[in-house]
Amino acid sequence: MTDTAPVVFRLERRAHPDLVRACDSLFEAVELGELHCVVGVVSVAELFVHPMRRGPAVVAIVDAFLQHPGVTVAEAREGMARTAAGLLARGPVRRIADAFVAATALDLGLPLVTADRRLARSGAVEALLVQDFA
Amino acid sequence: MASWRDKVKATKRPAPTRVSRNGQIVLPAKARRAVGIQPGDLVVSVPVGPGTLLVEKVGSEKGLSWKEFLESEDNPLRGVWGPDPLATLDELRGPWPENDS
Repeated sequence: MTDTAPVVFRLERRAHPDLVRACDSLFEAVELGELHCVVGVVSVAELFVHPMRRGPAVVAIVDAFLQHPGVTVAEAREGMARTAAGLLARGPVRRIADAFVAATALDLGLPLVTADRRLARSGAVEALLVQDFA
Repeated sequence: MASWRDKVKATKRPAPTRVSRNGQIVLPAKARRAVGIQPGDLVVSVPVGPGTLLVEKVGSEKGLSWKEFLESEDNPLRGVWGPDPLATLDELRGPWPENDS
């Protein structure tokens, strides 16, 4: 499962070249069918905020990514919200969006690919930090 | 949104194309020629209303791969998240709270 930033690095290309390269290798494996990518609903919202300010042609590129056969949007469930609440209550994660992203990965039993060092080091979820692959 | 419906209504309707089991359709040659879509072009499908899908060309060079398109100046997402995309995304999630009780 991927957090929002790796998708943004893949799509918009202006992050540090090492980060873009690291994400390229991940998403090229997805596009070749070697890996399947799950995106949480929080990331879907975050992916669309800025493109929606620019217009439909920009939104369409994010849509094209999400509609790729190798990409699935995880369905939000009450259990995920309860897990997120637990992560916030116990303290390893401090923001509700981070907690819901981590809870989605936990619920699905998937590692989380993220560029957020605090989330990766929180211990809340098995995390793969993009910077470690750059 | 409504303008697309008006355009569709104003155009003489071509023969319909059946959608295959896995969602594939053939863009009629006349329609492709009319809007300059060529083999190898990259298009996206955007739902614009019930039963209506907008197919928009987003890559103009023949044989452009998805990655090549993303790298190209045609990619409208370039710069959308500002000079520091990570910081822009972090702003959306809000500040990381310090220790609290």
